[in-house]
Amino acid sequence: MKKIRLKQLFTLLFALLLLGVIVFFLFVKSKPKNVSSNSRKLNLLGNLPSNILASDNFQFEIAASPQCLLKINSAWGIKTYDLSNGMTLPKAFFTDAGQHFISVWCNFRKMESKTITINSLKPHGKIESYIGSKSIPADNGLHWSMFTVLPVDKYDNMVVDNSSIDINILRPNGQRFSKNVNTKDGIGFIKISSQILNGKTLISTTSGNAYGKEKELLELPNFPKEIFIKAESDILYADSRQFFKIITKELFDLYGNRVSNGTMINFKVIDSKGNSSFYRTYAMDGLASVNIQNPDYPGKLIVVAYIDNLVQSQALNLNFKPYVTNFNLKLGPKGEYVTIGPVIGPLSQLVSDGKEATVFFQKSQILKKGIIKEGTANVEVPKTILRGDKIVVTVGGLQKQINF
Amino acid sequence: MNKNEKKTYQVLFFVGVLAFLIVTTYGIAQIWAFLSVSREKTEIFNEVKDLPDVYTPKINWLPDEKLERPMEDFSRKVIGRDYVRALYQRNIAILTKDTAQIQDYFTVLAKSKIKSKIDESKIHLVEQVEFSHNLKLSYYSADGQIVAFTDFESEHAERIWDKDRKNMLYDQDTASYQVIMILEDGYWRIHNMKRIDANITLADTSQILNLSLKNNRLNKLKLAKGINYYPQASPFKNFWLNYDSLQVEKDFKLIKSLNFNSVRIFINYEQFGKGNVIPEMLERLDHLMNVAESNDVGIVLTLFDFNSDFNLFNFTSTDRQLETILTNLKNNKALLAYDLKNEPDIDYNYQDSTLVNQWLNFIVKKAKLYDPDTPITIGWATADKAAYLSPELDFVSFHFYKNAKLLKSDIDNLRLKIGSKQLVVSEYGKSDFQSLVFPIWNPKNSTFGQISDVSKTLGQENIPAFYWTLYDFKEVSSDVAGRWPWQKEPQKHFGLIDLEGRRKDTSDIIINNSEFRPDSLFGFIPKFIYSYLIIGVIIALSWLRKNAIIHFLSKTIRTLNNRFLGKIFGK
Repeated sequence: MKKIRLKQLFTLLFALLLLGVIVFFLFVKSKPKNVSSNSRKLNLLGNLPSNILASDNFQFEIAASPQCLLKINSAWGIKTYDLSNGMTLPKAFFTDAGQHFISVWCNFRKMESKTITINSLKPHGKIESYIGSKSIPADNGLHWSMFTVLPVDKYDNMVVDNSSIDINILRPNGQRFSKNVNTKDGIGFIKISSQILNGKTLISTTSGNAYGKEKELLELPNFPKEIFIKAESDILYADSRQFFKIITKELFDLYGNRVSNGTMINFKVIDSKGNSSFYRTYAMDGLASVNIQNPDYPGKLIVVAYIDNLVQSQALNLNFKPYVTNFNLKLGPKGEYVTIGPVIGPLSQLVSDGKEATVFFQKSQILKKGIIKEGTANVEVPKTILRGDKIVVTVGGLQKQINF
Repeated sequence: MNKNEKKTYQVLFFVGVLAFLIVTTYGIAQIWAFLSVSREKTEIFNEVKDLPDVYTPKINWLPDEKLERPMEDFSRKVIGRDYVRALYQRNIAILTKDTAQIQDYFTVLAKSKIKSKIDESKIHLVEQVEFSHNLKLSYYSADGQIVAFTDFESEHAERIWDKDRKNMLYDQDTASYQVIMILEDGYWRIHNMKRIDANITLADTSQILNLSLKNNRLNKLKLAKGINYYPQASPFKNFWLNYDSLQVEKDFKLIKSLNFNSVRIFINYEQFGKGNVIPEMLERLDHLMNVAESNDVGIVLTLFDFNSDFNLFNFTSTDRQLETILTNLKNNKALLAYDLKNEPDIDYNYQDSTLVNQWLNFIVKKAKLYDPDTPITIGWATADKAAYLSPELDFVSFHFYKNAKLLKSDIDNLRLKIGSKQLVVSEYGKSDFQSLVFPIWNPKNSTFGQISDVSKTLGQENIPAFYWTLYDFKEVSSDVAGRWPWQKEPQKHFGLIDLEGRRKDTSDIIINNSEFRPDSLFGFIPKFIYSYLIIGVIIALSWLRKNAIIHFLSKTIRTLNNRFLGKIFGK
């Protein structure tokens, strides 16, 4: 093995250092040069027309200019071309409408510039169109929607201002008409005001040989003009167990259109004690209904239907009869419970299972509840009840009492 | 194996182990650092990132054309934001040649148009940025899904590099565009656009609105006796972050009592929130300006401190910060002038000077636009660079830390270039730091001489100046002055007032125009010379009489121990 001496090691290190220095100078990123001015006079863009129609049949040759580049500023960004070997401005360039600022830079100094305008063509191909809002109430012109078209030419450029667009409209009442609009800033639009008949308005667009897809505007019934409500049954008992149904008459808007499915109707119910409860329901096929639980106490119940502050029904007065006509009351053999029953209903029948009875121990101020099953309920008397206390029992609004 | 071979292998083994340890430690550190950094959602899911805070072009909504539906403020804000964002993504896509950048911001039609630009331009790197947009709305659909507007005279700049980034062209222009945007999937996307020939009369604010105010400020500046200011406890990057209003009030009273009538302060670009200026920072600046006003002290406001990003995308952010600060302060009575950049010629060492100069040109024009009534300058680090842009500036300023003898020639040379334009030396001074170890040549006499001579020359030349600085600092961070002690330590000792709050002897030269200078022999010799002399003597003696020295030293220590230490601590 060859001897490695320190001297050789240092020589190796020195060589590596030298190599490093060479690599550094070869590959280090040099600072951008401030290039000297170029005194050449160019006339590369002189023959380029300053105003042309968009076309893919046009090209423009630019002669070779060493160390020069062509820069084109347009709406979509900047594009550069190397002019060292000359070039042809591609056909695609002349299809891009709008103003283009073209400049020639040699040694990174501006030598020549020109602005050319490429004008858009007529609408072509599919015309994009939008309708918004997509639905409006059929309220005789109060609401309106906007139909917008974004026509483009053969090369997807915004069409030139004042391009003529025909808009064909078929209304729910069968009326058909066309309207001509002129574009501005690449957009054409019309306002479509509501009529009185609900249904679909169909809209289409044409311009020369360009066509747009069919769009539809829904004209929906507005909120009901008025609301009438009625109870489904006249036999109403205050059993606090069954439900009674309140139903509206068919709902129509101001112009006779049946209201839309899903129109929300609110119900307000006020019982004989003045307590209010609220219910919410939705119209289906022009009708709305709500099921309300029978009250616990006999007496009057008032029901009103309404939609926000817009429309309100008549106040429907309902009279609920007592559900319990009589019941017996007695204490157990040792006074350990109170037996309520048999509880008799209006047809001399035992009242339905599940009816609630409240037992109030007057002196002790204790309230207990019992559930009637097969006409009878046993309610335990608390051990703290003293002799002489008065027990008040209420079932279905009927009240009886007994001394303990 | 002979002795030499053995030694060689030992050295190689040692170097090998050392290299292995360095590489292993570095690798572990890199992995650790990677795992320690929390990832943002956009990074994890490879989403397009939010618009960076350095990109804040100006959006100016012009009065709308007659619309069927008036636009809501919220929608206007969102549309403006998404339009700017779309153009930013387009610019990034063209620069990086990456079409994924534009996915969310253009409709299918528009994407194909941009892609054609990207594919065909591979020989050059195209960097483009829009600085401002003047938007005039012409259409807003009833359902709020489509808008059309014209972007009038949008300013833009571009840098086009060759693929090696060696040569670059810079161009700046304005152009108008017709734009259609559509709301799709929650994004306002550019659907179609066209560059058009359209002009609109924008309010011209470039003319001087109040010439007398500007002249008044310039006249005050001519009489300036100024000082650069940072609080002692929180200099440089700590100033605005740890802003102490009570300390500032005390310091300005002190400045006034020291007969200074002007103060130069610095606005930290990044800490002020770049393009989205932080309101709290503006409040702090307002407080300082009010304190200055109440003490009848003028302020030279140095902007963009510690900003060394001259990337084109950063132009918009500096523009927004400039606009926000200048429009906020322009009527302030304490304001004397704006120093638009501190020592940009130092940036030449780290950045291409062309890029720095492009930014300076840009910012000078903008400053005149936002506040035409306040004089502007650039605080050059050296006089030889200070002539650049001087025709555009209201006065020329530079810093002077060289030998006092060179000041006169610097001034003369500069005056030859700038003519009669007002000169200001916005920084001068000398550190009085003397190290016992490092050979920093700051003997007391030299410090006195330098400060005195510079002051004298400035007086003779009738040039207003700002002394660097009010205080000595306890701490100066490494990223301000450099990491080495011989860089950092002198930076702490430029003040008129030392760390104990005492006025230094040199302060008399500045405050009272004293010409006193110590002339003792010892004043000419810096401290490190004494250290080196002692060490030299010890080494020499050691070499000459090794044993005797050791004997002498041990005897001395023994004597000291017996006479003094023994009495104190006992034997």
